[in-house]
Amino acid sequence: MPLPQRSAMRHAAVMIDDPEQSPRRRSPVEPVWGDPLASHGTLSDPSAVPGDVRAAVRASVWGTDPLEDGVPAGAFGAPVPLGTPDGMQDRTGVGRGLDGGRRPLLMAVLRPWFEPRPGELRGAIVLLAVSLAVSLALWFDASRRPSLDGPPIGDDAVRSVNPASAPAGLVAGSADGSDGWGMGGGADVPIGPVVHVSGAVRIPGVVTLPEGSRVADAVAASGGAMPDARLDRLNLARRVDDGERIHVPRVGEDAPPPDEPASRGVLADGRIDLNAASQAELETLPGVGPARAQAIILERETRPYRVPGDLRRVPGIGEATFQRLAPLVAVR
Amino acid sequence: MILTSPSQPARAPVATPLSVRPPDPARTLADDEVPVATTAEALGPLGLLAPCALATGRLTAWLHDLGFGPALRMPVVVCAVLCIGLAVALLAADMSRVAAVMVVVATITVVAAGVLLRLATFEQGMLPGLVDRGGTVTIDAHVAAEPRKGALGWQTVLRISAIDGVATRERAAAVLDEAPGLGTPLRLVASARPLPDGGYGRWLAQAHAVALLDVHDMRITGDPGRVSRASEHVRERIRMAATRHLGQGTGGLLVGFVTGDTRLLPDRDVAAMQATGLSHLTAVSGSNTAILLAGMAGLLTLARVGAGLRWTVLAVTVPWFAFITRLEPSVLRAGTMALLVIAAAAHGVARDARHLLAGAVLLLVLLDPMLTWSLGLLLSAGATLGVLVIAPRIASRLETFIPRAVAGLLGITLGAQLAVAPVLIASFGTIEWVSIPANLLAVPIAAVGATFGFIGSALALVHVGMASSVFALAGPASAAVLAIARVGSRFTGGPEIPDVPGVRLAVSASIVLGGVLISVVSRRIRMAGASARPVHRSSASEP
Repeated sequence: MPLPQRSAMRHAAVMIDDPEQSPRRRSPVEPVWGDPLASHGTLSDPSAVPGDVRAAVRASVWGTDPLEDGVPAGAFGAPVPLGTPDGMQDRTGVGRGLDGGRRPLLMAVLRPWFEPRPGELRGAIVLLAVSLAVSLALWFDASRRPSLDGPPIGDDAVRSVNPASAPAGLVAGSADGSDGWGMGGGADVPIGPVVHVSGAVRIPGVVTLPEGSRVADAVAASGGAMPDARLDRLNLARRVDDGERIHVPRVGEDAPPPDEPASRGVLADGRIDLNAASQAELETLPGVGPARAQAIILERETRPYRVPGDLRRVPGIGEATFQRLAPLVAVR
Repeated sequence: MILTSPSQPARAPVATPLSVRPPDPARTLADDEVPVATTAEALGPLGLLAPCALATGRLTAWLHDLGFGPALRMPVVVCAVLCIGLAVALLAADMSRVAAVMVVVATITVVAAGVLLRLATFEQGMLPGLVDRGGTVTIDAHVAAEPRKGALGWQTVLRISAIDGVATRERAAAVLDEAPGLGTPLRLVASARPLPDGGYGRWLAQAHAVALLDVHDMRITGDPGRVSRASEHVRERIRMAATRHLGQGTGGLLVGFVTGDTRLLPDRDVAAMQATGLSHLTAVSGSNTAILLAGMAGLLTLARVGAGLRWTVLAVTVPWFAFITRLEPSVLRAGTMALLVIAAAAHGVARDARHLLAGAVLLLVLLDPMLTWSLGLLLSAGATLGVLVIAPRIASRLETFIPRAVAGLLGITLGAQLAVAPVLIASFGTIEWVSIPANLLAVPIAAVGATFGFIGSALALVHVGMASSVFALAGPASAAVLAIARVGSRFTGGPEIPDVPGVRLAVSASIVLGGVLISVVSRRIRMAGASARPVHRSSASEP
């Protein structure tokens, strides 16, 4: 190694561990933080203590050789604070050796850290107060951030099923980059049963009804019955259930088309309810076969899904699969 | 005590005073307390507050993982406020010893409250909803951290300004195909997923990222801003200067030493550096900054530059370094710490360098409690502590066998290595054996290389040709480090501690305890000899 480099590194080493290199460093300098040790004696004040004790102190602080103890206190020019208002011997422990006193080791280790240094304590308290204030301020600030969802997660409301826009949004969702769930609009969505009215009505399709609606309301909401409707086949006074299909038969229509078994697993907008769907319904999802459907059901039996994102918990469903399924599933 | 008594006669001075005054147990205990007390004296309350703050942050993370976070938040905040108030009252009432205890409790509660409140902010905003629902959105964002090359692409943290046109202020991590400079505005089409478990997730969380984005499409929509453009310009000149006379590997490594920018370095060499535990040399960290400053200080001393000018140059070095490394938080943190510690060590302005290190750590942790989750902070602080506390002890023991300068160097590298070992074991569960000799050899060489590299990069601003000759001077050092990494990477292996968090923590804690025990015992042995002397003298002075 060329000479200049070695010297450079030697200095680097020396700078950190060698108090002898610069005599200046051993002189007492006022500390940056804390009180300037007003009440503490220092080693540089030889008249403060009798010779015997001073020698003992020096030996115990510096070791047999100042360097042997590595970095002794005061190695960087700092005064070694020794005296306390209640006596130097107590503080350093040397006096205990002379008077034979004894103290638990833990106390001896911890005690100097609790010695009163008002300046340092004041600084620490100010710092703590500032820190807490910053944390609280950031928290308040964050609570004003816009949120993606209106009602809290797990609410019974059918979020974002705005009958007019939802299906289109859902279809377009992953393709054009817009989200599929009507941002921030969740709160305005009418809360009530969503039913499919088919057959002899003017506007067949999915309608959203107020809570407590009857079959008659559903028919009325679908534009009313056609002239050839056989309304007497229906119980118009029955309360409708969410997700139900109401078929209004026509004259001459022999038997009503076999209604699908009451399905709680498929929402009115066609999304699959992860917490209610049957194995067969789950298998209608793209990329979900019997094994994955089984895994989805197993997972919800141990812990029901709180949000669609919980699908990530299911073994075998990674991020890519989840994102593909996300527009097609819901949690109620 | 049991260990000390038998060994005491062996270490006692030649004129054994045992006959004059036999050692009694009380005396041994008192002597043993001396060095501990002096360490605490040197550190002041900061020596207790800083470790408490770090440990609390980690503990809070653990409690949060167990699901206690939301329930604890408000009680802890109230406690913190009460503790601060109580401490102020006690101090005003002149009960400063009780106030000191209260300040320790207040530190613990304030850090816990800070972490819990920041975690609560993670649940606010649009990204958490996006993570829960899935789906793809359009995101307007700025690059908030210098992209780093990972296995899947360029890892970075984005500062999000709008999601689907709705203004917000959130942060998310992303893996990009290209590396836009810091501050570049982007428009992304992306979906979000939760932060991964484990160390990577923790690292992202301490960078305040709420989620990890899967980017489907990215468009750069503007200019990175003046500061970033200027630093990119400087970095480009540094890269040019470094590779004019040197190869891609050696030149690239020098650039890495200085700016932490390893994009010139071949992947094979990056992997070799990682395998041999040398990648910290090219990561902009506390040790990197410290090496740089130590090297600079050495050169300035050698050039017989006066103290005033020397400190001015060093004080300018840190901001400059922060600038060419893109003002990243990690750089600012490392720079602050290194500057404080080195200034204290060489200038003697503070009670003790250890005291300043503890103060710097406490300051940083209180300003951003999430830093307690940062492995980088722990490693920086650990390495610095090793240099300050362990290195001189090793060096003083080695000095009897080898030249003093070599002993000092060995002490510094070994001390830093030993001090970070518990951190590495607790987080990764393993230590590469080869990293110990590799670091012993490479760190001093890298320090020389980094110093020349730094001078070169400063010159590159003025004249690329001049800078390239300085870089050429550092070529052998860089080549040697690369050779060490390449050779060392053939001998990888180390103890594997099973991935049970408790086990790793226990192993790491027992290493720390063992180290402290060894230190205490060896001191006690020395103290036994030392304390015998004055007694001997005083008794001899009697007729």
